[in-house]
Amino acid sequence: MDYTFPEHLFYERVTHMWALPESDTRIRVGIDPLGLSSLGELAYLSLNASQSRVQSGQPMGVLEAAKMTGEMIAPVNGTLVERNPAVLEDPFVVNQDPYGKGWLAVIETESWLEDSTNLVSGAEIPAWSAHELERYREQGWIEG
Amino acid sequence: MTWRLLQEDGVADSYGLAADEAMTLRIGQGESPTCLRLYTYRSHCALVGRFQRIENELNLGFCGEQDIAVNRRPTGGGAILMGSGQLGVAWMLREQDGITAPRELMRQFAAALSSGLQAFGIPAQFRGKNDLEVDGRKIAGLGIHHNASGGFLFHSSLLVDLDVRLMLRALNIPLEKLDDKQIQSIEGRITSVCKESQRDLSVSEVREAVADAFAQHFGTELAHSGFSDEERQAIGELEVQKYLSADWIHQKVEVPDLMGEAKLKTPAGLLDVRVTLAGRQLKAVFLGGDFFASESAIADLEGRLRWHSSDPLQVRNTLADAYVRWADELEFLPLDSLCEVIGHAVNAATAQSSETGTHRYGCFVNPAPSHARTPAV
Repeated sequence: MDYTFPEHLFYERVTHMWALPESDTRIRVGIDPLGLSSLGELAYLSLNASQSRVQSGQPMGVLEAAKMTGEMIAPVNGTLVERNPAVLEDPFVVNQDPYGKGWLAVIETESWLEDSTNLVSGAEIPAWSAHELERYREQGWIEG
Repeated sequence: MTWRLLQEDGVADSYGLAADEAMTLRIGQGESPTCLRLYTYRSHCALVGRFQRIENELNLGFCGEQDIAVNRRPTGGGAILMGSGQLGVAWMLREQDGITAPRELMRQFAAALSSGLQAFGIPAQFRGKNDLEVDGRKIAGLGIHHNASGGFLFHSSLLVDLDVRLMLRALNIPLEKLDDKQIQSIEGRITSVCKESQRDLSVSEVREAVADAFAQHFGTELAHSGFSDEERQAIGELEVQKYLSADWIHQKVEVPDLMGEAKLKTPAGLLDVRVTLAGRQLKAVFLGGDFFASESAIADLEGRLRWHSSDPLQVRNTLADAYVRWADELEFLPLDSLCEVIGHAVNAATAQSSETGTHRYGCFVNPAPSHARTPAV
């Protein structure tokens, strides 16, 4: 597994959701490869309804993966305005291309400036990702 | 370290499910220590996995006639039938610094359950993603749910006893379309504590052994406990909002189940393989044909591939491990041929574009003989 963390993205520190601001109000979100590695291959996925409100730190959907069922946590506050139909039909696309075709949803937010301060970005990413890789190995979430 | 031990019997499906989820949420929020809940449901209820299509998995007409309640679990996997003869085991704990990964915790959970069964002389082993088996026969199904509060729910349905025919009817397995050999094949893949121990054990005896085994395995004390008023209120609210709601129970699932079948003639005989896929995951594999191999070895192969990646290399690696264990029993079933025919069945399944022809599978049963697409091999 290739655990890369592109520096143009923002990351939630614990849940490993990524966020890509396409504008000041429109945020595309997904799960990074390290978050996925703790789940295994995704079998099922459901996302909250389009136009529903989501809250940072609260569930925006549910998944069933090889290792467990679990909740996907929204990295920002806002309204879920777009769901990726490709991953709803074939969740394995998330495993195959987590930063590309495997994006999950688009959230429209009015609080990006504030919400983004809670996410890891830019120069912080290398140190944070190295620490997370070490933590995941130590705690047995990933091998090697 | 002291855990709470919660014991209940004859609970309603909606209450039983709500109690597990509400307590896991509260434990994740630090409002309760770790809990071990050992309970039975009121006979009977049929519970589908988190993302199953209930109308596909259950014979809703039969369940209605027999007063079998139906509901949806928060954990994944296949449909199960629960009642007074099946022990629900819910181990609920909090994610915290230093926690071992869920799969390792799952192994510990399974080891504690196995230890409990050992008290009756039953040598159960953890197999695949979520099975506890005795010589290839499934005796318990296991599942994990992780919620946003950081709570983990490890759940098992332990078969102290089971009316297999009732289960097959409730789980929408068309008995009238199966011949005796096929029914026996399904029955041969399921077992129970009473059957293995050859004793007429009560659920209470098994529950006591399981509680002792958990205490010993994890080096903890178990303090008998009931729910507080606040917990009862949280459970009641969740029951009404979710587990009594038709929107939850009958929800639509967007990922289609896909079935594929392939046959291959080999010097050892005919191989007939059926697979059920969820996305790219193998939900279930049925290995049939007229080749010669032991039933236990075949059941083990099927168990190892349940909830397994359909990636050909990963399938081969998993089967290769099994062939080391069952070298004599699988002598006449070439690994290369088996991998090839499974690959063809997977390709047939992924070529499906409609939901017609989807097939049922339960937590304890493989898909029934099908009329799925068969590629020319």
